[in-house]
Parts: sequence; structure tokens; C-alpha cells
Amino acid sequence: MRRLFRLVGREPSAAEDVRAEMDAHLALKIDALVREGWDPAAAEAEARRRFGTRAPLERATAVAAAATRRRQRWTAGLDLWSSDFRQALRSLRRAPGFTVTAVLILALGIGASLAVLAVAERLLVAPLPFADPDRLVVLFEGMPNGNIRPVSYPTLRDWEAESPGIESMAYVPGTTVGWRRESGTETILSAFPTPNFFATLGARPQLGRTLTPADDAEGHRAAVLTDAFWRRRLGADPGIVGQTLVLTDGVVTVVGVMGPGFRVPAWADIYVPLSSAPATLREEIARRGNHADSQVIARLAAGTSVETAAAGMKVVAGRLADTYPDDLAGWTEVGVASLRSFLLDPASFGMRGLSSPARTMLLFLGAVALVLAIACANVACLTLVRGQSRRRELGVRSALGAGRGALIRRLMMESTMVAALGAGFGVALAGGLIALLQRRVPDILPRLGEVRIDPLMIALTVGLGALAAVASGLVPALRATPRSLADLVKSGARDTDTGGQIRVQRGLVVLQLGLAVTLAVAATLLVRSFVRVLDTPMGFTPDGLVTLTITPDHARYPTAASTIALYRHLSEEISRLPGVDGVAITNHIPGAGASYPTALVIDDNPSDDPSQRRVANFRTVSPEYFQVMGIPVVRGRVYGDADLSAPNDGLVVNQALADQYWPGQNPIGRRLTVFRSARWLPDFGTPITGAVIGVVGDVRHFGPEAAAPSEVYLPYTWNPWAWTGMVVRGRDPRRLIDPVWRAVSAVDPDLPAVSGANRNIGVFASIMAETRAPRRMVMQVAGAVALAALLLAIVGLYGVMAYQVGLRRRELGIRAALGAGHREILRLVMGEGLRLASAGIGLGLVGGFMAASLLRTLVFGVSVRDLASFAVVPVVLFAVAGVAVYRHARRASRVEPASVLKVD
Amino acid sequence: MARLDLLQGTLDVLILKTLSPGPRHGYAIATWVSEQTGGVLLVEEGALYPALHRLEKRGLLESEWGLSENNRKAKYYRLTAAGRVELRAETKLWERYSAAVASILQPSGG
Repeated sequence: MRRLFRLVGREPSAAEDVRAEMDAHLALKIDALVREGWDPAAAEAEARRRFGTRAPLERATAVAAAATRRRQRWTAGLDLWSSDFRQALRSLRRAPGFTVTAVLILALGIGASLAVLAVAERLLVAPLPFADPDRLVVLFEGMPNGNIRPVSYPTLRDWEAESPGIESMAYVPGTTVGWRRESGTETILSAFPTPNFFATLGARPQLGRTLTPADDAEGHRAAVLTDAFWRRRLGADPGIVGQTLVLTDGVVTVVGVMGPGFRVPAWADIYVPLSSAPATLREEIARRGNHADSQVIARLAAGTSVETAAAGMKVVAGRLADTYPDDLAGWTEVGVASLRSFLLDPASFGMRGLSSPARTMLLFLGAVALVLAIACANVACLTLVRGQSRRRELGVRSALGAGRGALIRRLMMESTMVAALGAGFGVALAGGLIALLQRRVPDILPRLGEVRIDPLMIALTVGLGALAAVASGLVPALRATPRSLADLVKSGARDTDTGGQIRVQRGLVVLQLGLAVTLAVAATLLVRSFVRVLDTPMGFTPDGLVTLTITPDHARYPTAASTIALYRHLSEEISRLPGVDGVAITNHIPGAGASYPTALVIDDNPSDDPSQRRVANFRTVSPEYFQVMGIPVVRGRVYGDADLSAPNDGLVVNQALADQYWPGQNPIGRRLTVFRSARWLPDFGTPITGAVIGVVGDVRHFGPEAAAPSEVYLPYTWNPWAWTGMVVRGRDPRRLIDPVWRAVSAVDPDLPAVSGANRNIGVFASIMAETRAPRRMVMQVAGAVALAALLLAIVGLYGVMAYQVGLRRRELGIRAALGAGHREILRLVMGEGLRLASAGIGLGLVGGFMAASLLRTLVFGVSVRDLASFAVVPVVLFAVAGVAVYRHARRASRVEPASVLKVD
Repeated sequence: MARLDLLQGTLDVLILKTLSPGPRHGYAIATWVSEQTGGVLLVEEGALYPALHRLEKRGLLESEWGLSENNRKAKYYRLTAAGRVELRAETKLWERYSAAVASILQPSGG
């Protein structure tokens, strides 16, 4: 008997209600008095008298009554929702197939979206873990035409002296150092920042402290570790602070560990004060001509923009260019870029070899949005079908007085519950995915380690869940509820709204197919581009090669001569090993990403225009290099042992250089000047002039995705490099790793040795594969996603066809009764199904085309005219759809007219 | 005014107790209390209705319009589950209070 709303007429206000109550009380009182024998009029007067003044009473009571009303309304609302909730729960439990399927699909869509969104948020939106991160910038020497290069240390000191708009600057050079452990010596990358580095960034360590100017002043050999180094090489030892690391040039004491988000510069393992850097490094950076292996971080003054700072520094740079024309002619500007944009897309700053997280994220975001859309469309289809089969139930409810709003509310409650469950599982899935990524490929994206399930994620989940609920539930709810009583009466045996329902279903299926095809085409394009990258010839024979890098301690090999002797000794020892077909020395191993450019003087004509940079890779190699690597000699000859003794008049270049400076002509005999580039030697920068004696084939030094650079090769003895790479050719490279290492250790046990985590030595092919791991992962994920999307879409098509055939049994039976043969019906149904599939595929191809144009800007090797990719997906999909459709068509053609005509 | 305060608290618990056997309308509550106490406690109608609405606001009572014994419209009140809990608690409190007062007013033991 609980009537919480009185819908008859207007609901009385609280005040009216109280008055009515008082009146009622009075009436009862009067009755009682009359029964006692009072005269009615007198009774009334007496009753009123006894009651007292009503007005203040009424007012007070009215206030309380109003409050009660509000509570009741709220409780009533709650009751309504709770009853809807319970009903929805019951209804979903009665249809486990639908519920489980829908929840799973949404969980997939939402989970994937969540994972990607969480990572994207960390990467693109969340502030960097530094104090006031928007004021942090990176600085470069710049030219008016946009060329940039790393700053040299002397130039930076000059900038520091006068830097309008910039509060502080820090210079961070780095080099490999040897780290002695019981298992041998490993190489690590050490940064040697200037004293104000950590202060400029304002980053807080997770353990211990950062380096301070006091460390530099006192010559304190302190070291701060990065989180990645601490986890991977030291097992995240919590007591690491205070312990020492034995480096080849001395012992350092660990004073702190940085947090997981700190990756500036991206290559650094540890940070040691510049004052404690190896002497060779300190000498190198003192040269104004040294523009390698360093980064400059700066903090803008409060309120200064990047443009203002750049304009201010331009004056300073211009003046310096006039003062030091040898190095700085033409470099009259200072490139200023926000640290965030640099970290997101280092490739666009000429930092080749570093992947671009921003682009990868965009790819993922696009894919995931499509997946979510497909998941919602799929569930919408399922819901629609389910709504159709509940028409009777809904019709009964409607007849019993449930308004359309109430019915829609009930159905939306079901959709919301499914979406909520899906979102719940989705969060678990996202958490799992992220944990998996963090463990397997922690370096693939910066700040991946920071991604957690936090309140923002929960908020995102709720948002996505709500989106999914509406996207998958609203239209089906609207369609499933009869619009009016007339609608209801008309249905009954024949579902007259079938036409509309079918149209929506068809639309959804076409949409799903379209989205899935777009995804599939995009994924195929990615896969093919990746394969193309793999297949691109590097210019040498990568199979059968073992490569290693040796970094000698120049305190023990201080001269060029001693270094040359070491390299030669190593080479001889290794070549003596069984199974070794050849050994060669090279300063840089192709594909590893390291190189050094030297300026060129062509034909003895120094270029007057400094903006026309004539550079080529400076390569020092042993005579056997070309043969061991399998690089063809195109013209002339390469070096022999005779050339090793002293610089003579001959230089070897590659085809790219010849084509660049002497296109279409014979380069042999042309004159060329290069400049010694081994920075650790005092003769750095001195010229070597000669005539071209040979041209060799191009090598894709920067990897298969970049064009082959111009290169000049010199015998390593003319300008020995501070470290060396060695390439060893053998039939079974994997078996060579141990013997080669032992040979190296035998020559000098202090040379950085092999360890599992290191990439100092390895089979070249595997190393290459490793560096492609991120790209491969993207491709695999794209493939998996596309496959899942296609599956979903096909299942959607299948389900809808099945349902529609079921719906049209009567019609088909009648057709059969009227003489339509099996084949005709078959053709009819198949025709419809294939039309649907074609529409979807067509839509998908358009989408795929758009995706291809987008991908082309993001990923190397994607061609819009890659017809094969565009053709493969539709063909496969059409075939599968055809099979699905055929099955149903057959079933449809078997409908017995008699069985159908009997019903209703 | 102090007496009114005391009465307010007492009135609430009396109302709750009156409604414990079943729903009643306001007039019936007033007459029942006076009958049960032999006329000692007279519920002032002016105090009754504010008390009823206060209790309803607190969620201890529910109200509903109905018909009285002689076919007149009347607003019936009844206890909610929360009201029953409150009644039990108040009763215990009242018993302890009256026992404490009585123990002081008793002649001392010895």
C-alpha cells in the first residue's frame, strides 16, 4: 500500500498537506465532542480553542513536512533505480549467452582503449617529473635555414656569460666507461654533467640525493644512477646508496638513484660530475670544434617564451660567430625547443636512432578508437537482436502501464550494467597489458614505468563505460520500445517494425565491417612496410657476422701508436681462431646508429656559403673491411697493407659521395680534403687531402629506413679512433662469440668483456633484430588488433544474417509456397548478405585509404599505392563472408512452407 | 521552558511507543496517551504535530493518508524499522534515567 507518488492531479504542497492534516484533526475532535453531547457549533468553537493558534504551528510543521517530502522523493527515486537494477540483473542472468558475449567484447574494447589512453596520458599530457617543466628547453647551435647541431662546451660557456631570457644552462657530455665486476668488465654509458644540471631540472631522486655544485668543487667522485640501470644491472638493491662502483678510471660512490621518469639524456646509465670525468673527455670537450655526444638543457627565466629566448640568444650567437669564424661561421642562431617536444620526437631534431614516441602513440590511439567503435557496434547489434526477441515481454509491460520512458530506462540499465561489467574487466585487462609491457619492453616508450591504475584511469574507465553503454544501448533501446499503443496493437503476430529494425541492423553490420576492414588494411600496410624494411639490402652481407665493440682505457693506451698496436693485436688473435674467415676493424658498425661527420672540401674549392654543408661520414677501417663485410668495390681499388703506414695521396669514397659531388663523372682522381675526427687525439681537425682512388658500394649506415649517407673511408692507422668496432665473419657466428671474447680477454683482461645484458658483442643479425623489436611489436599488435576486429565483424555479420533469416521465415515460406525454387531463395538471401558485405568492405576501403595517407606521415615504408595490401583484405573478407552467408542461405532455402504458414 | 524541553523528549518517545502496536492518526495518538495515563499526561495538540513531522523527517516514522474509523480523511503514521530501533534505545535510556532518579529519591539504605 505504499503510494509514494500521487499522480492524480497535482501533488499537494507540504503546506497544503499540513493544513489538511490539521483540518482532519479538528474534524475528528469535533466528532468526538459531538458524541459527548456538545452542540455542533459549540463543539467546533471549543475544538478550535483547544487547538490553539494554528498559524505558527502550521508554519513550523510545514517546514518539517517539506523536508520529509524531499526525503521521500529521494527514497522513491532510489527505490525506482534499485528495482530497475534488480530487474535488469535478473533479465541479464536469464540470457547468459548474450551477457557473457557482450561483456567480453566490451571488456576487450575498453581494456585496450584504457591501456593506450593511460600510456598516452603519461607521455603526452602528464607534466614531466621536473620542477616547473614547461620552462625546460634544449639548446642547439642553429643556422638561419634551420640546421642544428649540438653545442660545443666553449661556446656554451660563452652563452652562459650572457644569456638573456635563460635562467640556467647545463651541459651534458657522455662517453662509454668500463665497469669492473666479478664477472668481468662491462661498458656503461656515463653522463658527466656540469654542476647545475640537476638544479636546472629540479628533479627529485627516489633514493639518496642528486649531484650538487659542491661535488664538482670538491672533486667528489659521486655517482647518481638512473632507475633503469639500477633495476636492470643492480637488481634494484635498496641499499645501493653509499656503495661503490669500480670504473676503469677509478671508483665512484653511489649517492642517489633517480625516479623512473628521469631519462635525460635518454642514453645515460649513470651521472658523474664533470670534474671527475676521464681526462680525455675533458680535453675533448674543451675544443670548440667538438659537436658530438652532448646535450644542453636550460631553464627559461620565468615568463619568457621559447621565441623570446631564441631571439635574445640570436644576438649573442651572432657576435660569437664573428669572434670564432672557424667553427661558428654561419651558426648565428640558437635553436631553442621545449624539452617535452624533444623527448616526444627526437627524430625530428636530427637525433637519428631514437624512436619517436609521439608517433607511435598516435598510431595506437587511432587503432584503439577503431577497436572500441567496433566493439560498441557489435554489442549494439547483439542488443538490437535481443530487443527484438523481447518484444512480447516489453509489449506486456507497456500494456500494464509502463511508460516508454520507464521501459527505455530499464533497457538502458541493462546496457549500463553490461558496460559496467565490461569496464570492470577492462580495467583488469588494461592493468595486465600494462604490466606485461612494462616487464617485456620497458624501454619502448618513455615513462612507461610510471603508468599505473590511478584515479585518472578510474575516471577514464567510467567515462569509457558510459560511452559504451550509450553507444551500444541507446539506439536498440529506442527501437525496441513501442512508440505508442497503436504500434503495440499492430505488432502481435507480425512485427511491423521489422523493417526499421533490419535497417538499423544492416547499418550496424556495414559499419562494423567498414571499421574492421580499415583496421585490417592499416595493419596489412604496416606489416608489409615492416617486411620491406627487413628486406631492404643494407649494402653488405649481414649473415655470418659477429660484431663487437672494444673501448680501451686511454690511461693505459695513451698514444695513437699504442692504440693502433692494440687493435692490430686483437685483430691478429681473432683471425687465428678456427672458424674465422676474416676480421676487420672499423670505427663504427653500420646499423648501430653511431657515426661522425667530417666537413669536406671538394676539388680544393672551399665552399663560401656555410649553409651548404658538405659533410660525409668519417670512417676508419682496416684494409680487410670491405671484403669481410661484403661491400662491393665499384671502381678503382681499396686500401692494402701498404697504405697503412702513413697517409698517402689516396682516399676511398662510397658511391653516394661520388654521385653527390661528381654526378655522372668519373670520380677517380678528383681531389678531396677531410678533417681528422678522432676527438681524443691532439691532431683533431687537421686536414687530410688526397685524390679518390676507389669507389665502394653504398651501405645503409643509419639502418634500412634511411638513405645511405656519403662516406669517406680511411685506413684506421691514419687517425685511430678512441674505441673500435670489430667485425668477424665466420660460418657459424653464434659459436664464435665465446672464442672471440676469450681471445679479447687474453689480449687484455681489462677490456670491457661480454655479458648477457650487453650489446658489446653479438651476432650481427640478432642485434639488428633486437633494434627492430619496437617496430616489430607495433606490427604484431596491429596485426592482432586487426584480426580481432575482423573476427568481431564477421561474427556480427553471421549473427545478423542468422537472425534475419529467422525473422523472415514466414516470408520465405510464402515465397516457397508460391513457387520460388530452392535456388531462387538461395540467391535472394545470398544476394542480400553479399550486398551487405560489399557495402562494408567498400566503406572499409575508403577508410583504409585515409588511414594509409595518415600512416605514410607516421611510418616509414608505407605506400598509398600498395595495391596488394588493399586487395588482400577485401578478398579474404569477402570469401569468409560468402561462406557465412551461404550457410544461412541454404538454411533459408530449406524452409518448409507448410511449417511456416501454420504459425499464428 | 525547561519543562517544555523535557516534554519534547518525552513526547517523542511516547509517540514512538504509541505507534508500536500499529499505525494511528494524530488525533488517535493524542487521545490514546491521555487514556493510557489516566489523564495525567495530556498531549497538547499544538506540540503533537510538530513532533510527528520532526520524527518523520528523521526517518523514524512514515505517513500516509487514509480513512479514519468514522470515514473521515486522516493522516496515518507508523513506525519504520529505524523507528523501532530508536524506540528500543530510548526506552532503555528512559529506564536508566528513571532508575537513577528513583535511587536518589529513595530513602538511603542505612
